[in-house]
Amino acid sequence: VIALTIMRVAAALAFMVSGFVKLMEPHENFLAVIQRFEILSGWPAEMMAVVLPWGELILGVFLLAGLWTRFSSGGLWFFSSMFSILSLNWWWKIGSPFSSVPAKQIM
Amino acid sequence: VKPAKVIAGVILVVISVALVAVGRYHFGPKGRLTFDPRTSSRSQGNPHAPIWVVEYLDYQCKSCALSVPIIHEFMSKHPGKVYLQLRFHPLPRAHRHAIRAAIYGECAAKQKKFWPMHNLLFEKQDEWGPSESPDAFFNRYAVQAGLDDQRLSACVDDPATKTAVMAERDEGQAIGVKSTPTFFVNGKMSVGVIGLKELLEAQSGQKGKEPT
Repeated sequence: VIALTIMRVAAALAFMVSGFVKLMEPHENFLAVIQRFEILSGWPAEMMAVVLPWGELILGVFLLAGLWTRFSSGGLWFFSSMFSILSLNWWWKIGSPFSSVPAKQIM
Repeated sequence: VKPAKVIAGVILVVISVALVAVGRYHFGPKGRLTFDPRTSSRSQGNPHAPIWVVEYLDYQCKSCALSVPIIHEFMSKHPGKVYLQLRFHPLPRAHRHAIRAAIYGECAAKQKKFWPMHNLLFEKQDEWGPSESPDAFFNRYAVQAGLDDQRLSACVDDPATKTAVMAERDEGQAIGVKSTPTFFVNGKMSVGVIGLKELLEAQSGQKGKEPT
């Protein structure tokens, strides 16, 4: 139980910090990261750039507080899985997803 | 769903929103993009044009080099409708020669030879980027750009030039510029080159139409 609590608190804090840091700067900075994966563009990408950091923060807070832990951990698991898959896909195709050069320009 | 849990959830959301608001007030972007008369020698186009593009760039950034033809093509398609202003935003942690390159860019601007030097710095990025000491390359580009050698040396060695470059970078950071290239098209921010074309077309009202 103690180990699970430590893991829950650590995961919650990691997502809270990640969301909070993104919310401290213009959403366009995170939008550029989303656009780099070349899955979303236009308003869906913009909406994702605005909503996702809030999701990370609020679900992280819920997880920390022990509120709706299944829902919040499921949501955060979905976020991290999605980004892991996209990052791996990018690495497989190009190299680092955090390179400043878009894939279409490299290929 | 227990009402107590819902109330606790709502309270936590409200607290989170308040903390973000306080955080943004203290750590978030300060101020807005404003006209900067110091960059007039690094500007191109009609200052009364309906589309204003301000670019924060780093000469050692690959994406910044990729943005040059995009902007050039857009300006060619919309003659007289675009005003471009370039501002330095060197990122020395990622690009060790970025500040030095910006200093040379600034010194070229002081001699009204900014654009040829700017183009050379981007064109030859792969040449000077990996070198240990890029000054020899920069000096060669300066000759090609037609800069006065003595004035260039005095300017490059003047600590005030670096101070001005760094001040420009700090001003960019204050309005939320974190990476390069960052564009402001009529005040709307766009980071990287992927969203740039979309934003330019949206601002020009020419999306989906053939250029006239």
